[in-house]
Amino acid sequence: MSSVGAPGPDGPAGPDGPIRGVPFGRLLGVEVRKMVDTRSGRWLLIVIAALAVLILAALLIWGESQPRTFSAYFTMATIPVGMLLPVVGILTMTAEWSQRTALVTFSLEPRRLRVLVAKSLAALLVTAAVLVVVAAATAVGLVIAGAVHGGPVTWSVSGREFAGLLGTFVVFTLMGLAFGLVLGNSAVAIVLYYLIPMIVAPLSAWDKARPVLQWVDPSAISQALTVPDAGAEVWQHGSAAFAFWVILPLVAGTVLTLRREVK
Amino acid sequence: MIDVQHLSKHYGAVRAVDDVTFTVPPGRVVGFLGPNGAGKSTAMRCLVGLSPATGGTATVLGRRYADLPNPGLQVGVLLDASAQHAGRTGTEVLALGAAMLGVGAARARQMQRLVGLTDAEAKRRVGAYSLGMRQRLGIAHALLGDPKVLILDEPVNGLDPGGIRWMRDLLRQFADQGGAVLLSSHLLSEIEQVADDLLVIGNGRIVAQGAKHELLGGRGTAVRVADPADRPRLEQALASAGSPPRDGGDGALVVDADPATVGRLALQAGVALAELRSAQAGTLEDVFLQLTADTSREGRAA
Repeated sequence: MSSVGAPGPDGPAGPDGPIRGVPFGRLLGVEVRKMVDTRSGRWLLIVIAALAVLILAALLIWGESQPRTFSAYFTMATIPVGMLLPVVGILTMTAEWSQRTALVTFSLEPRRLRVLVAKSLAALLVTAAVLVVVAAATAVGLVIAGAVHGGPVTWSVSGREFAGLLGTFVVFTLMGLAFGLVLGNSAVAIVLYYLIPMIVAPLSAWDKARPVLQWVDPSAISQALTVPDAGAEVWQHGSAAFAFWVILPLVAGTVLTLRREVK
Repeated sequence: MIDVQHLSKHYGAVRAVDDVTFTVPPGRVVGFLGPNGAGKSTAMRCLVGLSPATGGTATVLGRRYADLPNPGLQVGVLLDASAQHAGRTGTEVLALGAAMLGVGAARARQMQRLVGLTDAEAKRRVGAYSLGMRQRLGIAHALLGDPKVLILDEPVNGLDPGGIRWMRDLLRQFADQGGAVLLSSHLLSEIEQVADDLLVIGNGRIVAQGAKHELLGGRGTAVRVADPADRPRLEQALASAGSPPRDGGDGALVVDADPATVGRLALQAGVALAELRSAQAGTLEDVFLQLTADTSREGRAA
């Protein structure tokens, strides 16, 4: 397998010189396009953006007492992003199997690892693009809120806070990718993605389960990233949960996909 | 251009593909024939590297398919026309393929028109396509990179008669320009009309392979005498001319000679004939059923 990112070895001479491998940038572009060129993918992104706008509108109408800071507005507006965007990651991995397009994808690029890396980067790029759109909408909402409600508007954001927020989106997207990759089935991956935190979080409040479950509670990841001065213990738990719910399924899913028979 | 040596694919105790060896040279259309579940699709998936082979080697243009730097530019593959995202339009499917290969949108449009998909049809979602339209889309996709080799699994399935004729002409032309085509089908009449060589597979093993005319070669002449009492005389005349006859059933004799020779011998022997004709050349269907009878699920009765 050629190294990821580098074009493949030179092939036999074609009419326009030697045939080169598919450049990684092209692979990445195709994977981004595949996320937005289907109804399901496109609507998912539209719904995320629409919910963000809805939240901003609600803040405008009822949020007179809310502090008019960019970070408060952005945190609120990105709630649907964190909740729904991982599904984009799940679908980019599972659609290849549920729609059987893997047959075509891996025929055109047999170096499957490159495809998987391109998919993961593409999902992160889409996440970044959505965040930029939501940030722009937040800025517009904040300007309007300042004009309507009056009072001071705080634009400055704490770097630590912002990085933590972005970090959680990266983690959520990676977790979606990992679930999609290892489970290979949209419905199962989506259900488990939402169900596991719902089950683990309340269970880990139970004394007897806590010593074990606190190490795999996904909420520890976002706690470590977003709570200021979360402390070493939260970071340890968060790292363990990250390894368990993100790294492990990513690695296992990659190994499975590289070996999987494409039918 | 395709070289398969001792290819095997086992699933546990099941030998889906068992020691299959064949080649597809340039300029030839090779028909891959076999009953359902004989191993055609599995063999093709192994050839394209989508299924790991248990043993043997398969190369395309001298390399393992997975080692081709940009296989879409060298090999056109259509393994399942239905394996497309139902939510994408035909145009989008071709645009994605063209983007991956770096051949440009104009080429995608050109191929779409070449396979007879109208612009209006191309704008519809693949989920709304008939199987025949999906096959056309799949062929367009396979041709995007202007490949030298085509690997097509059941490409004529679902095509209307016009489409079948079109496909035949397309493959013939492709091979005549020096390309190599491997296509599988269970539609025997189709393969019979387009293939140069045949590869018959049953239960994972090749049961027959060779040029089509060799496999389907004529079976001589059938002759029936007017008076059964003359039959021994004709048999003797034929035998002494070096063509001992076989019993063709129903009172007829079958001889490995052309009808004119048999007629002349009968005249010389003074035997009146009731019937003289070319023994029916084996149709592919006869050959196919005969060759695969041991392995087909219908057994000998078929």
